[in-house]
Amino acid sequence: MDFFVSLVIAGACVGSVYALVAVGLNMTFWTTKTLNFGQGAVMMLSAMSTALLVQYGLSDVVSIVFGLLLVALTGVLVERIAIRPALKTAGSMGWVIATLGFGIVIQGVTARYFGSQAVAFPEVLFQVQDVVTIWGQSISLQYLAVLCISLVLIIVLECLTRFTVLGTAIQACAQDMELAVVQGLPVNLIISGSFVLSSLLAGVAGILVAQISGTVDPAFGFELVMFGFVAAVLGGMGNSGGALLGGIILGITSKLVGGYISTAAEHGIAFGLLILMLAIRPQGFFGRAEVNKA
Amino acid sequence: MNTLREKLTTLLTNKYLQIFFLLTLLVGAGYMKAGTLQILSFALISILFTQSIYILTGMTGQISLGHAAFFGVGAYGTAILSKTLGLSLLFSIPIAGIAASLVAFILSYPAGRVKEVYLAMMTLGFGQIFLEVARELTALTGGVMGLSGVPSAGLGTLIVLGMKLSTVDYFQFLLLITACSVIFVRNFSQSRLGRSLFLVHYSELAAGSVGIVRRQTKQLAYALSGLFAGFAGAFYAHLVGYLGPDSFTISRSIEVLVIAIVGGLWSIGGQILSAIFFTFLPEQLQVFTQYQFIAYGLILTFTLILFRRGIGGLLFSASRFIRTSIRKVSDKNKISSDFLSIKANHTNILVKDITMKFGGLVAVNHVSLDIPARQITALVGPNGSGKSTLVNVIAGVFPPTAGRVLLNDSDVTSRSDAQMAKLGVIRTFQDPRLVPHFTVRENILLGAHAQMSYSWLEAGLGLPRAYKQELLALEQCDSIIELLDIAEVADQPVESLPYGYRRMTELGRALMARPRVILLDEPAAGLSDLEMQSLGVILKKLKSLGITILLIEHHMDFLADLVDEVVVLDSGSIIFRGTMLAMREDAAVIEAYLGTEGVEHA
Amino acid sequence: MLEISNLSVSYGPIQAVKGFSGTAVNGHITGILGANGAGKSSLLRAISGLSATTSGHIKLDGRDITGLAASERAKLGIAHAMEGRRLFRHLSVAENLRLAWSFGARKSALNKALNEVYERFPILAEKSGSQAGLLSGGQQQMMILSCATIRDPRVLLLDEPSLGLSPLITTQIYEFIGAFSKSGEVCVVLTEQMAAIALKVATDIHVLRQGSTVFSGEAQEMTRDGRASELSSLYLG
Repeated sequence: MDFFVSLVIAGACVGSVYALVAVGLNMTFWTTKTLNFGQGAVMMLSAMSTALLVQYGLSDVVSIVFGLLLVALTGVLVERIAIRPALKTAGSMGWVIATLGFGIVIQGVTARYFGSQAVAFPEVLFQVQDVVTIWGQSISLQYLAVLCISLVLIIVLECLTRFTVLGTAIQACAQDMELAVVQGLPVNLIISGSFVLSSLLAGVAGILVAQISGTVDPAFGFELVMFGFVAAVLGGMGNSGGALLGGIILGITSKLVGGYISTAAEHGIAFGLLILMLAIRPQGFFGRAEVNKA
Repeated sequence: MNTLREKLTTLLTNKYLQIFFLLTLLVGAGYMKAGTLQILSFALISILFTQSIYILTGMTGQISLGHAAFFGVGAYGTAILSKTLGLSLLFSIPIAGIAASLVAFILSYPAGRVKEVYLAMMTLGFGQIFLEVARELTALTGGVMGLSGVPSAGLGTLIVLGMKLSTVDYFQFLLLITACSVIFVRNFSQSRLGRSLFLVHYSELAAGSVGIVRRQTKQLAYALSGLFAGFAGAFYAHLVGYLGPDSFTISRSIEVLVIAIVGGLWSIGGQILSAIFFTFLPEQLQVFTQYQFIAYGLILTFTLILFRRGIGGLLFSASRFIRTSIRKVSDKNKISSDFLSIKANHTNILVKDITMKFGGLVAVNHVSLDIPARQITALVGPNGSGKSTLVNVIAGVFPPTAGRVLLNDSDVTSRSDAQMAKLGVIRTFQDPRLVPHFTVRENILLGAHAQMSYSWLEAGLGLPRAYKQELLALEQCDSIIELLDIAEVADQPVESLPYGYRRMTELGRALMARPRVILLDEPAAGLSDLEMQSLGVILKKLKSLGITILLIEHHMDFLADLVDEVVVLDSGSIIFRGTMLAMREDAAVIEAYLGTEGVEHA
Repeated sequence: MLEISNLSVSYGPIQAVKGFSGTAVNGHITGILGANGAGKSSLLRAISGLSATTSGHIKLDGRDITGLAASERAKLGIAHAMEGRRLFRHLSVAENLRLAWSFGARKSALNKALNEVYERFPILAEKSGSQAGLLSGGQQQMMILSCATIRDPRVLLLDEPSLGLSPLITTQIYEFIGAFSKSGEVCVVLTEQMAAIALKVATDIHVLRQGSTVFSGEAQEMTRDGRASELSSLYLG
């Protein structure tokens, strides 16, 4: 029973991070109908730079802030360099390849100049051994902290989206871009902003995951993007609440499968859920079925 | 510059030169160093693998980010079958290839129902899954330590039918296989199924309008792609003799994508050169391996944006999608366009009490309409009157909320657009949806897709049945080109042509689909007065051939001398039916267009 | 004031507007009439900057805006209610209005502006929390108009405001348009297929046919007895 509960908690925690990634993917999907397929590298970038800066002697907080600023900049760049030109000239799917390439360049440069070895990630949130006992169950504080941070961020974002003018503007762009332009919304700024936000979320997710796993290496983050994507699809592409639900379901299911069947099957189940959802209900739990007037 | 390209292309596609080159390699293999032999063998396998991307991404526009998995299924498949189960290579290799194809087919199951980006993600996930499985199923695959002892030429353990194959033998074998596969793929790209892959990518609706079943087409592309990737993997296994999961990571998937993109997604020749180049590069340029990953990333990020056509576009003339040998024959045979009347059959369409609702909006409201045979009928009406929706319902794009559609008294209400097209109900679109880099002739030929029946296998092998059907279709195509008077541009890519020609090309494609009824959506829009006159003449000719015609139009002058009857729709209901002359005087019509006061004063 | 000289708009090879010239004056309504496909919407899109022009000029209060992007023109005070009752369907009425106000000229405070809207169209106050996409056609059009006017525009472009609406609601809307046009420093350009209602409020009209202007003049010329059949032939051939 203990085993089961510990898996569920780990699953919920890791799932909340998936949800964070998913919400980030949703942002750019809203405004441009695209995703950054190199998002994994963005996650790696924030975690890696934080880890390295701490190694060089900077404080934890400064390193994290710097890491996040770096990925924010990356967000602006990926939109300018990969997405915008690809949407104009490279056909309907060119942006997939362009963003993938962008991520690979980031990964390649990092590996070239900082080596492919794993780097230890500092203990920013509590210590690995710190546990708290709830209902007789021993729970890692790090896990709990990660869960809380993710949840808070998602809730904050949801509030921003619903209750601020900027959030309303982003939703408007998602619904009818042309109408947004003609009503004077700063559409270009909103698009860039969505990419910055998406990258920041990925950056935070990267740091949180690195905290739990303890290390970062250039290939880090790659699988997280896939899990994030599956979470987004499960919840309904473009729906934040759905992303949260999808992420947590995904996290718990994969941990349970990993614990009771085999760790390799952890990834398989994500893939399996994706196929199942796409086959039965492509719009996800909360998505709207697309009505085509042709 | 162009002539240089043409000369180079003619040179490299010259059959005698190619045979000479092949023979030289075959014979020269015996004299090559072991190292050279091995690199060349790798290059051949790379070419084979890249062809799988050509089919899926170049032709069908689908992106796979996990193709290493299909390569791996083929590799591990044959390795396990031949080493562990002792199966002869004559069986293990084909079975492995087919297994990879099957897996790709299953993966593509939701294709056609979901957006393409979801499939891309699925292939990414699948690639990772495969890697995990390869690492975990140690008993089967040797796990992380890998599977050694696979029968291989290099180790002298490759024995087929009692004969031991040396590395030279294996290379010669690979060379022949690769040459055959290149020919196969090129034949396929110049066949009806090959061309249909392109149309499904560029416009799903247009594909449906000529009877192409979208989902099946995409699944065929995945299955074929998996087949080639699987075979490439199988041959790889018997070349190296040892398989480790590290050979099937995302790096390999990315590498093959890079090769295909640098070579030029639409160019077989370019991809061959690119595959050879990237096989030799790490050997020649040690420093390359350090920056390899970065280089690949940069290539992926910028090539499609800056350098779309790749090496192929740079060095060779654009690929063509009709077999030259067939062209040579069809160019000589001239047939008349009267063949169009054979299937026409004087068909009428009866629309019974059709209602179409989108959520709460009623676009078409209990419309009953008889579109009679031997007649040109126009459908007009103010914006939002429901004209396009009605045509979409008749064409089978979506089923009506209520009501029935009858074709010569048989109920066709719930048929899909591809099914309706096969029954002879063909429609055109407001903006011509063509494959931009196809010529006029190639685009028109797409219309004959459902009129031909030869399979992908017959296409790839160039069997007589495929040949005969293509020839007939080409002859018919030529006669339609004559009818539409566009012969002078027939071999130019449509993207470079003025609008009037593109409009005609789309009409030509519709005609190739052997329509009994043709539904035209604003065919006169954007045409000059002269072009409109030609169009009118052509439509009258089609009417004389027995084809029933329905036009949506706004251009009243164009309709004046052309139509027998006009039907006016307003807010989803029919408000008038009669001659053009009577329509202009009708009170209800005037009110619909101009408002109540217009009637009072009239 | 809006001055348009020799404006042409093409979508690739299709010439949607061929050499249109006209002037819209503050306090007056200019009507653009014609059947569908005539080029009315294309003309408005060219004015608001959504569609590129191939030749000609547009001047807003003497300033040449021909080369400006749509977002710039929106900032200068051009409001465009596009054809097809475009609105942000999944946002509420209040959110639509607030959004429109936020990126408009903001001459009055949000609350004041909202109250004006709700006073004029009480049904919008009732439905202020409902999703815009769920409103009836007439209610949507009221909201769309209010979103355009809440921006305190200098130029108001309305594309077929009466489309699909009952005569009663059409009258209501046109009363509002008429009043708004007289109220301040704004010139209104509206397109209609339903000539009758437009002729009632417009000062000047232009009739388009396949992109060309077939009539330009004062609206009252067209409403004189006997001219209606001429109008009909301009539309229907």
